Amino acid sequence: MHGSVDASDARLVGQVAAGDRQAFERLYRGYFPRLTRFLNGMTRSVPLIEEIVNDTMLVVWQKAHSYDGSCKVSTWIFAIAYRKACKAIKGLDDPVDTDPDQFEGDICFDPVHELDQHRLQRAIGAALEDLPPAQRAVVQLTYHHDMGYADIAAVMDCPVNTVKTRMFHARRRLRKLLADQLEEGS
Amino acid sequence: MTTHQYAQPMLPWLLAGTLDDADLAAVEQHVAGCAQCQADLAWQRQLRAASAPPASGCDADRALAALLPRLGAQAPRVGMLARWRNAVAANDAWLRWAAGAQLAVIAALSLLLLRPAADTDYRALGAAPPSGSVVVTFRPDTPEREIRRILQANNARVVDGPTVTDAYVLALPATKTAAAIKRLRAEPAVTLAQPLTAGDHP
Repeated sequence: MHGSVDASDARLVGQVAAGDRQAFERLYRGYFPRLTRFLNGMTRSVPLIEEIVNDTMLVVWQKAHSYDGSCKVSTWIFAIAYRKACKAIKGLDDPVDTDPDQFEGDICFDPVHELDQHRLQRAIGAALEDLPPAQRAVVQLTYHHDMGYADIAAVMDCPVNTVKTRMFHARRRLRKLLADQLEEGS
Repeated sequence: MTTHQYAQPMLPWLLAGTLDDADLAAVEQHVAGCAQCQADLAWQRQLRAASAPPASGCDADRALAALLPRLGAQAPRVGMLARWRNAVAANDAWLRWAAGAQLAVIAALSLLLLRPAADTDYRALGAAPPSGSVVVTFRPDTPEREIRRILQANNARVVDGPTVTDAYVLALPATKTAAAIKRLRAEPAVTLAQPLTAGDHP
């Protein structure tokens, strides 16, 4: 995230800590699209996504005074959202070293269908859903939320190497699931 | 670890443009000469382009309307320290001010250190630091070792001097000043031992 954007977010958090509801609303609207996009990758349920966003932002409202500037505001808020999402879909957060091959029989798309963009997106969506939530979150945060591995480690409260390992397993699994959908690079 | 083993896990963040400068230089250099990493990168580029999450159908107004009533019951707690901390976190201009102030202090201290000692400064004994309680002079030929013995014997500490008249200001234990002065006066090497405070005049 651009430094000035984060400084602006940090200013808003400071105002929220002082009980400023307008600042809270600005922060809420600023993060709503990003959080829903992230949470949509974790769960496809619209009511559940909105509920997790609200639970997340309620924590932001209540704990704004504890934000100490040691990480980006976006990292702080995404970390709360990730924990709330894990709690909401508890039981799905498989361990990192889960053998991806155990999901071999669960492929929920037909690879013989014609390759078009819509179908590709559905296939990728299905493949992503096939990943354990922790791996899915790493893919989402890496590809669609401009987060480096260190930021992701902060969001997921895990070591940097765990982030890299999750991404490695996710890539391997996706490559297997999407073998007939995506062309291998030359 | 080979450069390939180092670079391979970094490819997703190379693609996303979020590697720091050190990682970026190393990974880019490796990828430029590694066909396998180039192919992997091309595959991930397709995946990334096609995997953008679809619109969720969530509605910010609706969700916020559901949340606002819940805020009322939770008054945010904020203390002075937290306000200050948040203000500092929100505004990095203070860093420039702090650096400027630090430079000013360093410059002022440097000037003081470089200024030649003022030999003509007059300093009255009465202007001695408040911790000093007795002014003492020694015979000119008294060895340093003897002066040290006298000070240690009386639990005294030199807090100023020697002055232009070769006097020292001593700090003595507050409760034993009178006895110490008596002992000092008994020392052959001591030519003067005089309390500085009016109440202690003999």
